[in-house]
Amino acid sequence: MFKISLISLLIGIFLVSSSLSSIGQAQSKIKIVFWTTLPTGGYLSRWIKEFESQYPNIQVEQQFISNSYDEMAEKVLASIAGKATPNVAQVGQRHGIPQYVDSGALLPAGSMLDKNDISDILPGLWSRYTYKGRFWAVPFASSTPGLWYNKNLFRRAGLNPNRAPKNWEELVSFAKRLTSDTNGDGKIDQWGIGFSEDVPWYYRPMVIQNGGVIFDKNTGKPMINSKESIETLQFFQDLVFKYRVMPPLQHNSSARDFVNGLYGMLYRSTSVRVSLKKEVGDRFELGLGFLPGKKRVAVGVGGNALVLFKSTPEKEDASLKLIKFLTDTRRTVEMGLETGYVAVRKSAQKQSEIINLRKNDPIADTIYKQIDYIKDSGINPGDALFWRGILRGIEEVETSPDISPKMILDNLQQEILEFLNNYGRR
Amino acid sequence: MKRAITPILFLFPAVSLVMIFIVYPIFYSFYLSLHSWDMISPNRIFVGFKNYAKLIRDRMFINALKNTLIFTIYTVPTQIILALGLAILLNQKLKGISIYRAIFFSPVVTSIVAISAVWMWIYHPSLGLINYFFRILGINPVNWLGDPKTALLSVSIMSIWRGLGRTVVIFLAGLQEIPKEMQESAQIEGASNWQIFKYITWKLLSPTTFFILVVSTINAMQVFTQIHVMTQGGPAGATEVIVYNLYYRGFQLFQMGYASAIAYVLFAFIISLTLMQKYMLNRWVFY
Repeated sequence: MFKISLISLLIGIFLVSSSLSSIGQAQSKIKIVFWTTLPTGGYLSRWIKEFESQYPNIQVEQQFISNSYDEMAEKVLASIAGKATPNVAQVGQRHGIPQYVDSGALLPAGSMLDKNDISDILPGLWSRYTYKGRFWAVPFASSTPGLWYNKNLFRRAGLNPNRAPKNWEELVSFAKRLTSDTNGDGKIDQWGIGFSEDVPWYYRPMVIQNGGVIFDKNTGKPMINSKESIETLQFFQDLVFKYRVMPPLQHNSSARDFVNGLYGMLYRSTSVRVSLKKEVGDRFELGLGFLPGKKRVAVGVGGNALVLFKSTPEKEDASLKLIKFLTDTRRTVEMGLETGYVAVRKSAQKQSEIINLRKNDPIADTIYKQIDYIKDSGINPGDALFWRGILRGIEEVETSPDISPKMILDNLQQEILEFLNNYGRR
Repeated sequence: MKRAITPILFLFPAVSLVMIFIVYPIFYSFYLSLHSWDMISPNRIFVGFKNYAKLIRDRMFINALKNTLIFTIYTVPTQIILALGLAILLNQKLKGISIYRAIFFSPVVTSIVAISAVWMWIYHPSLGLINYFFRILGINPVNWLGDPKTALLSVSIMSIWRGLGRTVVIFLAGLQEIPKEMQESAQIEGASNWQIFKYITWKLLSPTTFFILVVSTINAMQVFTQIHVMTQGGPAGATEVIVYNLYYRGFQLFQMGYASAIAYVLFAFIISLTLMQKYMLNRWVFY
């Protein structure tokens, strides 16, 4: 008897709770789920609230997944496999988007914007977010790499502190003058040049500067072992062994060491504009230059973008509204002011706040001057292999002057080709 | 009838969890290892044992296998020797001995991610603690995690430190199982401390030692977290281990079939190592 009553009680609870939740769903609000790499409570959450007050029938649930793009990519992948995708996600450009596209889970959010919006966002960004002829993501927080330098060390080395190296040759000659043994113990303790830990991100534009491409624009074929790419990898080896201006295998510590005055120049994201200035404080005067060019000037694009997942028409519609809202001119300006990310809309750059920012901050001005040179290869399913292979290749050539860059890149090209062949078979 | 059903009902919750989260994935992952599948596209292409055949030619995998074995050789014996020594010291009747025990055990209960982050500071080439002392002593600083020659060793040292506490506790339990009378009577017979250790303690401790050997070998073969946090397999592939390779294949390149094949090869390695240990040491272990 007792048992039966217990069971009926459980069933009762179950019924009540399920009917309660269906009441919740019956409300007319459209609820969309937004996965982010930004924690709740920051500027993004503030914008979501503004969005909700502008569209009272849409409710946005922001779910902070992880601040790592890799982890976000894993979660998105798992959600596609488990058919439990969010409606909108903030994803890194580094790798993954082509896979989501080919799974059929995405809508081409970039191509779904109004024509005016598409042409308002800098074309260089679209060059990155293009796959199979369409724009699959809307650039959200975008950053570019830059060449940071220590003006005090420039002065001490007899270099003009207001002029960064314009090309690879100057980079080497400047670096040679900046490299020195300051305490006279026979060991170099101040280096000319360093690259931060995300070296492949600097490698990409360097290949393009040298006249090459990463993946062929039309066929998507990898061009990893092209002459231009081999020369770029060779350049890394030469910086260490031929010119002796870069310490080998220090990419994980170079950013910190730069702050401590151990490097004259450093390749690093310009998204640290605000934080780096704080970190450096009054230790030295900070300068920023364009990435040095070679055959041409080119700069890559980083950061993250918003993607839109297929769901019901009304949710898709609400999600697109959210994406448009978060990337509109107003929000883009605020992004450019509050963070180190760049305002990537032409209309945003015309706003007085951004114009003032550029006037008062020469570093910000350099960043905005440089974004006109964004030139990148489109996203490709082989991006993850490229990233890891180049990271490893650079570490290998820095280990020994005898390792052939050509061999490393031939192997990597082979590996990516094989991967893409299998990938195409689905 | 009722008698037969009641135990099944009681077992059902636990067994169903094991079935869903352990047994089913084991078989499913073997099924996957025979396919080429990227996890999101609906069709899986059956490829038979091609994934396994590919592994033999995969330089990255061979390198990972080599690194995993080196890591195991670095960590397991060192940890056993250090832990045994510590356990003997901690097995004494001293004031506040439990505090010492707690200190040595504390790394085990600390999050491995946090530990890895702290050790990255310790190993930092220019600001790290170790290189700071090296500089004071006039030794050239070492690029611990950045140099392919020292990276795997550095991760191993940290892993030994982290796992020591657990091993010590198991050894302590083993030591306390040994009847005091035996050691006492040997002492009365005039045996030296070394003889007591060699002929009594070490012999009676052998089941514990064997257990630790097997378990820590299995753990070492599966090393992942500290690699993921500290080096991501770098520099130049020097710390790439099997599970990291599996993770990279499965979750960055989305090659689920291939990653499953790696998992099965790892499983085969672990089980054959364990059987080998059991076979070779069977006569040595004193039950």
